[in-house]
Amino acid sequence: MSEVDIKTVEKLARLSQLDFNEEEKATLQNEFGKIFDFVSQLQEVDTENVEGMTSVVKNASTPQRQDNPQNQISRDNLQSNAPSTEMGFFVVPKIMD
Amino acid sequence: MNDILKLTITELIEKLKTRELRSVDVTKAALERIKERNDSINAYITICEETALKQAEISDQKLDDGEAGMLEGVPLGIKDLFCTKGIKTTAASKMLADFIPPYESTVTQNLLDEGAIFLGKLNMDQFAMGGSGETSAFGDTINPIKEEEKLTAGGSSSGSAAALADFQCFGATGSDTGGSVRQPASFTNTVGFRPTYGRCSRFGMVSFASSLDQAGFMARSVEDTALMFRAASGFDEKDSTSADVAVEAYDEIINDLEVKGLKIGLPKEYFVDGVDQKVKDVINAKVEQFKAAGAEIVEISLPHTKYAVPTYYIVAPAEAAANLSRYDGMRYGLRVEGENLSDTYAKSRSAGFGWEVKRRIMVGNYVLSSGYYDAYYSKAQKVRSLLSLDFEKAFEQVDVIFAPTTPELPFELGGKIDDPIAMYLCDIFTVSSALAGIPCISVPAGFTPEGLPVGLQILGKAFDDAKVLQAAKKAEDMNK
Repeated sequence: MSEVDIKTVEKLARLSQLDFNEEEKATLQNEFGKIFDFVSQLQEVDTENVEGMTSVVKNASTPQRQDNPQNQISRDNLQSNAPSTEMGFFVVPKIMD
Repeated sequence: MNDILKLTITELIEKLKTRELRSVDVTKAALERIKERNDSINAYITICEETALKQAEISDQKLDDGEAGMLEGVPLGIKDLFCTKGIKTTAASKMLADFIPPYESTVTQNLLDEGAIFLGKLNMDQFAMGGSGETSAFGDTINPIKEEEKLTAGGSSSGSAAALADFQCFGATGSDTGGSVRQPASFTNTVGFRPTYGRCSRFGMVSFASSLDQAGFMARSVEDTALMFRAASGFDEKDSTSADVAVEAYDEIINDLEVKGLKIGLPKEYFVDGVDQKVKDVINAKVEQFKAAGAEIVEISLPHTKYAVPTYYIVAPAEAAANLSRYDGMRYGLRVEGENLSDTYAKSRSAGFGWEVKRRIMVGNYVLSSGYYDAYYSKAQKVRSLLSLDFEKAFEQVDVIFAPTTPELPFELGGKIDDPIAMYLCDIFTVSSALAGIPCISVPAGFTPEGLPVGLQILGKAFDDAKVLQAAKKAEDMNK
């Protein structure tokens, strides 16, 4: 079985900005083993000279539109879901000590 | 139950046009049905009684004034991942439990512009991650087909499928990232259509995996599905992957297909041992009907099918990990205060996301992290190319492909939720086409001897949406 050690689980949790207790970490470790056993089947496919497919849109280009200012949503509306605002600013926790 | 709720959309539109029925009365009947049944089925997260009735009044006026849109006065349910202005949109997650979008998704705006009425927001797997409805933070949805047996209505569009099968709406939007409209349609004897990627704008849909996400349409008839699709699709400059390809009058040309001479491919990889024999029996009987009507049946091979699920479960979590990094508790969504910024991020995300979502974010970040990127993510993208090529080659030989939608029948709630691999394998026949971005539909094909529904899946080449819908209409006609 594919082994993912608990240190890797902890590192991924940090990268993912998620907290897990010890029991959850063990569950994840176990599930990761199964999932990576399963997806490792892909290693048997010959992909020599095969280009990766990043989009189903053939010859994808990045369409551009005119850079005209639009006033679709007011600031008040946009901030209506914010956990905390003050004078039209988002209030966030202190970033530097 | 009021019998008018059993009408198809096209039948309802006729009666609204002749004033035999008024939209206000129809909408009231639907709302009553929802309120009576929501405790048992749990198809709706939010019911929009007041706004729906107001919309219906306007629709009745428009019908009187001869200004009716394509869906004027037709009550629909909306999957709770389409942002609806002023109406709570949760993606069935605690993260967005109180989120009220200040804007409207393009798909729902297009439906509104054509006169559709929104009855409410439909339950689903959280962030569309799941195949049984069980990852919703707002409870399981019950399949109304055999209510007492507590079967899944499928997922992730669980509420859409259940609401339709239980006559709690006339049509519903869904979304399909890896099979999320087709599998629930198959499990509830309804129609679920996933258009060609790019046909419908993704603007305002809560993102899961952007290269796969596509709006889907569900109804109790193929023609209804075609009509909703026509109303909702089209180019949108707010979605950079939106296709600038003309929308056809899919509902009007729904019968324009000759079965005689139609070349139907049967991929041998979709009729293997792992498929429930009862599912195979129903599908084979349907294929025989097409054969008798003059279709040419061709055995084909999609050799990389076996690798579709592992490919999907690398690509989709990788994109999800990136997309869901936006939920940080700062601008919207749940915030749980921590000791510092980083702690607030982690506390907010840990409290807001369910287990399946967390696991996929973790898997996604693993396959994207240095050291594993080439072995997993890059490899999966290459296999995705091969899966897509399989279809391109197949469509050189055939017009459409027929297959089962799922390898199995609707299963009991709780049956697979603790075994991710078993759950993921249910998607085996729906993920390849999603990875390739081609149009596909699940249409009712019949029932097993126990009375469980089986869906026939029809796949076509990119932008052959009309042909897929037309073939599905023929399959539906043969059920009569």
